[in-house]
Amino acid sequence: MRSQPVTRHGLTWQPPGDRERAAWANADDATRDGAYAVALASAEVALGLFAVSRAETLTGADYYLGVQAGTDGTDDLERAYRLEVSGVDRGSRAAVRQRLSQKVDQARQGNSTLPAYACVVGFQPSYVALQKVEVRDEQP
Amino acid sequence: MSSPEHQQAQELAAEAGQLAAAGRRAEAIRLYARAAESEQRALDTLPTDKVRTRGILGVSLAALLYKAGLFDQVEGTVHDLLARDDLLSAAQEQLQAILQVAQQAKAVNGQEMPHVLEADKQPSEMGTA
Repeated sequence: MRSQPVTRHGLTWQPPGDRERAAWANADDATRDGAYAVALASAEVALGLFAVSRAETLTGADYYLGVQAGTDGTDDLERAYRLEVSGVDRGSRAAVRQRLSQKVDQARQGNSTLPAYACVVGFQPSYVALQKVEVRDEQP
Repeated sequence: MSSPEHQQAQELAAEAGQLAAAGRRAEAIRLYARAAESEQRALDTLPTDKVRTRGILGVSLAALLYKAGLFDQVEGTVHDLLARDDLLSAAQEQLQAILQVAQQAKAVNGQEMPHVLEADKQPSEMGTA
């Protein structure tokens, strides 16, 4: 994968208490939902794009990203990007980059022609990798 | 802005997902069905030139019907959408994929009935590296 620019951003959160830890005791769910939160924040900071719609399971995406609602008067879904998110709770930055590479390949080989971003959130290395996925032109 | 109907569908689907995760499947399925109704309304009121949005909403509708266990409606909806000539190829392929999954689920369940909502689980890759 080509070397990409790296930027540094801070992230603060409330440490979870016993109730929160109990409620999120499923590691897979916690990793998934934590990854969603960090990926959406990253898209906002790095791309100026916001979640405009959740994508249903089976649709090949996790969220749709668009410009902030109402800022340009256009329909936000009509110009939306797919966002595909993956979370890695352990491992190094290299593991995150490797997962990103897999996600990008997967998105390219998928059946969607909607433009997309792939985002992988690595919790142990505190590292987020975000890449645009080029897709073929689409025609009805 | 996406339509109020689509936003309502999103909210209902999110609530349904939480119920499903809590094991309250019957309630979840009812909410998925209501979400599908809202998504259908969003689709019905969409201007004809919004082809990409039509694809997104159409695929979402089919997925919601599937989660509601309404497999026959999945079939009807997918066929109706595919009969149009303004759907992008990506949406067509995704609809075909959902139709196939729904047909398989229907074959397994025998009748149109609520299925186990494992579809709410995300790919296993979300776990450890």
